[in-house]
Amino acid sequence: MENTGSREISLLLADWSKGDEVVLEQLMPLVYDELRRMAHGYMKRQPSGHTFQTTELIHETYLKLAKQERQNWKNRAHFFGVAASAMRHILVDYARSKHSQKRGGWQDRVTLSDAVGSTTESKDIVALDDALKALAALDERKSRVVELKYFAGITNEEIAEVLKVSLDTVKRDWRFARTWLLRELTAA
Amino acid sequence: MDPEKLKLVEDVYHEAADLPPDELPQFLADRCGDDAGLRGEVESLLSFDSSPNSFIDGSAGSFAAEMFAVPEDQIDLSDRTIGHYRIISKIGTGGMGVVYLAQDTKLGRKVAIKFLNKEFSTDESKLRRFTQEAKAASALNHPNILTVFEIGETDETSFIVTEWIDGRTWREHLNETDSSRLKAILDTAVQVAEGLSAAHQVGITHRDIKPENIMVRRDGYAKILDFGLAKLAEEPGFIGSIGSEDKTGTAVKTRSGIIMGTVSYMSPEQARGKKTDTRTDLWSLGVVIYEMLTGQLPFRGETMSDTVASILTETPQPLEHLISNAPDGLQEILDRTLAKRAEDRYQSAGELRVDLMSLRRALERSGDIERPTTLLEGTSLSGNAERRKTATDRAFTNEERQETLSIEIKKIRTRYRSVAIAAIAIVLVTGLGYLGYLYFSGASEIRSIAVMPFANETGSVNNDYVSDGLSDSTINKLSQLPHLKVISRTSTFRYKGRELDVDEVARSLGIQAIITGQITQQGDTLQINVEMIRVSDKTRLWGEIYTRKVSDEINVPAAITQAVAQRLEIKLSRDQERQMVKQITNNTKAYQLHMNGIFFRRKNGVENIQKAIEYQEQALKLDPSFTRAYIELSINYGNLVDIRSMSPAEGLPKARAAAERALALDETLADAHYNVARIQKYDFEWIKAEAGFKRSIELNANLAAAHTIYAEFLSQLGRFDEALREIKLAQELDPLRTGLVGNEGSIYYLARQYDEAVVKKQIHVSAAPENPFAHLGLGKALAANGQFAEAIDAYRTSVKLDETPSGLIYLGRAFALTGRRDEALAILYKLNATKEYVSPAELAILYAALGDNDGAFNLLDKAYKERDVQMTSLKVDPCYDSIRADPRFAQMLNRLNLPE
Repeated sequence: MENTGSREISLLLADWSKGDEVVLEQLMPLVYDELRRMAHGYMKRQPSGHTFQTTELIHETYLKLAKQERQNWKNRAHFFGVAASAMRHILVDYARSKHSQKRGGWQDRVTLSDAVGSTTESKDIVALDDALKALAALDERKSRVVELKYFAGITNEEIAEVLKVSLDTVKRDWRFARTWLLRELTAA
Repeated sequence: MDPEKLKLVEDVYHEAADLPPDELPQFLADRCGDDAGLRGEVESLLSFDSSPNSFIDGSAGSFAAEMFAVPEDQIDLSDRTIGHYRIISKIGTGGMGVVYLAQDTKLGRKVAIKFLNKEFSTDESKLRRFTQEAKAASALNHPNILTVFEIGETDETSFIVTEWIDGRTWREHLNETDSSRLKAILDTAVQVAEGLSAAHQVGITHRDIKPENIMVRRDGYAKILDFGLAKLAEEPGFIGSIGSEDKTGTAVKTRSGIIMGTVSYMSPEQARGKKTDTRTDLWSLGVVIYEMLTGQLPFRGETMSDTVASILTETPQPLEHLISNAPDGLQEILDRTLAKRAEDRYQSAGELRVDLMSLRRALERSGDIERPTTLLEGTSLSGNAERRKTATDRAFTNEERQETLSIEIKKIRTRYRSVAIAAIAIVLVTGLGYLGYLYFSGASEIRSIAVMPFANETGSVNNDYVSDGLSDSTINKLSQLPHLKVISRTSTFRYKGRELDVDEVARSLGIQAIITGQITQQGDTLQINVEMIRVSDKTRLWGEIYTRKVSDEINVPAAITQAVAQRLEIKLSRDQERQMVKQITNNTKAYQLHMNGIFFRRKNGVENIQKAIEYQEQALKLDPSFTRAYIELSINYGNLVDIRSMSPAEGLPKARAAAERALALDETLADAHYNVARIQKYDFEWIKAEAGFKRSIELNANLAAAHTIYAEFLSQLGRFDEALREIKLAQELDPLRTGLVGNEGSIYYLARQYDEAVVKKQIHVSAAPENPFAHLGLGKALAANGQFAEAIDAYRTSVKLDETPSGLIYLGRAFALTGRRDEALAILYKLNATKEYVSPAELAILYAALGDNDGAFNLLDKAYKERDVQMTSLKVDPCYDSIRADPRFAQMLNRLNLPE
């Protein structure tokens, strides 16, 4: 089952990297599943208290898929582009379900585990997602920068590569998007 | 806002952002002109530009970590090493943690380790209470309670190391049993009731009895798991109140949503969140028995609330609707067990056990127990097929399974017979040399032995004293053999009248061989059949049948001992041989009086001790050279002084004189030496006393009492490690004498390790709930641990059982230290008015607690002059801490002649 999924992903990615944007819709749920699966294995190997590195996870997922695919992927960035969105979906889905659970009341004593050093709460993630949607409506690229930076955890250089823009543009986009988002989040 | 507008805002924002603050107003005025909206927008954004770090400056990693955090029950620790435990494999996952099979690399044994889920190991006080309770239950050393070896912690969690049970849960066990389901159920139920009874007597309630918490070993032994664990989970916030309707499902959820257990086995009072007591366990056991019998739960519902409603209101279907051949008696037992009101139930596990046993016996007599009870049409065993699969890796064959306890003994017997037959065959083929090899091999390495109570098969209960006396004397005689550990009577007599599982006995007592005996009678002739069996291979090492006229059996123990010594290749010196054949007394009447005296001494309590003294004095009138009667006298007077019911001025000279008389009659008597030493200590002759203890142990290392009193001596001198070593030796010799754990507790108390002290003292209380001094000791440990409310309860129990001055003194002290001065003073008046002996050194403790240091020192001075035995603890007893800094205290210590 896992193999079938992986093979599909690699083929779709190849198509997508050739410029077939339509495959993204098919690609996303598959990367989503693969990331989730990888994440559990990833965490099992980590000692308790280890901070989760989304980049590491995505990179591992990429390597796993790339290894399976004979032809070398020239553009690792493509994968990061998809993976960042998938990661955002995964986390936001989780945050939303948790958020609603909390409002449901009976688990109101739930707090985030101190052991993993978490300071971000589900409501922050939900609010960020909402704000990012609003930002995307005004400036799609800026929301992508944030998505890549925050959810995939990749560097500005890599973001520039994924989005095919200059490094300065990424920095500029980030600076503005950050300020804009902070204001949105504070107002929310 | 639209994209163009945003673009404009962004451009202005970037230009403005890096300007020096003083140029900003001018810039904005120029750039935005009349567009107040634009200006406001840029200004508002700029105010966020220098916001301190927010979560979006990080990455989603920390949040992702929480999301993907592997539930603790999915982490696999296999192959890891924790302390000296090497994890082998995961064997189960429960609501509270994950269980692994592990190898104890230090002791080379397999153990089970349960890692508690984090939420259960974070609250320290709760964890401590759990630890105390789990250890207390385990230390009951009950064969039906899982033994806890250790409770430890890693950086991340707490874990419990227990004995590893090579068996299955009750449910699995039953599913593997195809024949005689009823017998299997009753066998296990009786054992569970027995284990619960032992725990309940200590006041420990399990609260989570269910089939998964009962393991059945390959040999049929049932073990109750996880005592104390339910307590960890029961605090509010963990198991929520079940009444609220939004929580459906049949499982109870903890606050992190982990399924903790089902409500199906909960008693009505538990389900309603009311106060529960030990009777809740009886209900739960009833539910389990019902389920095991019928394959279905007595109280069911689609949701948790429905199940609770059923528990509170419904009457379970009668057994006869569900199974064929349901015995009448069983329905009655279940009706009483599943009574809604706790008052209508069995009031103790012991009562339930008795009824279950009678039922089993009745069924055995009628042969009904072998008749299969089958489920009636339309009923089924829920989940059987699946569960059976999980059990296959640990499954064993039918033949093995049917070897129940009662068969065990027969099996051993048969084995001897076949060994004998095999031996004869070999003789025919290879001649005597080979037999000699077979017969004598390996016996010389046996260095620990237990004499089991001889079975009285004369058909008359009146002969119990004969069988008991013989096994008793055999223990005494064997104890004198050098290099042989002989288990004390108190421990072996626990097995009186019980069917013996040799392996279980060996494990509990820690021995390599056992001696068993049966006594039969024909006319006025007694036949005493004695055997020695090696535990490792159940080989019969030696056996003899002694035929004696009634009342002429007195020399049999000596004969047994000589034969055993020879068989185990233990060389006796001439002195030892003389000691061996020496008769305790030639006067039968004196012997009987002496034995009566011992009987009463063992019963404890002032009146019994006084009776014991009378008997020994009468025995001495008949035989003035009866050394053991002198020793008994000494012990009794010493005990009276120890429990402060005779003044030392009166008791000590008597105790000393009696022991010295015994020693004068026979210098090689180990008993005499330690009893003299005990009194020497009270006279502050520490060095002489220590020499006496050592001489006693040199003469006979098997006297648990010598090790015990020496341990007390050492602890009073602050030599705690040595003291613990001695008390451990005593425990090895007398492993089932739980009273020794009280002594151990006292050592921990004096060593100021109060947590340990509390645990040990609780066990002592469990073993001797009627003993006021056990409760007193517990109270002292609790008070020292700062648990004053609980200490006061313990003292009150002690005083209720027997209003001793000591009990009142410590109760008063606890009042004084918790601001209840009036109550403390009331006790003081009472003590001053009593005619009983009040230890001045103990009374000084109450004065010190009330802040009257001068009064305390006056009393200590008096105590010294009176040779108050409490003075021997002065150096280390925490109760004197408040006056320890006073120079008068150091002077007092000086007078005690303490060794360097």
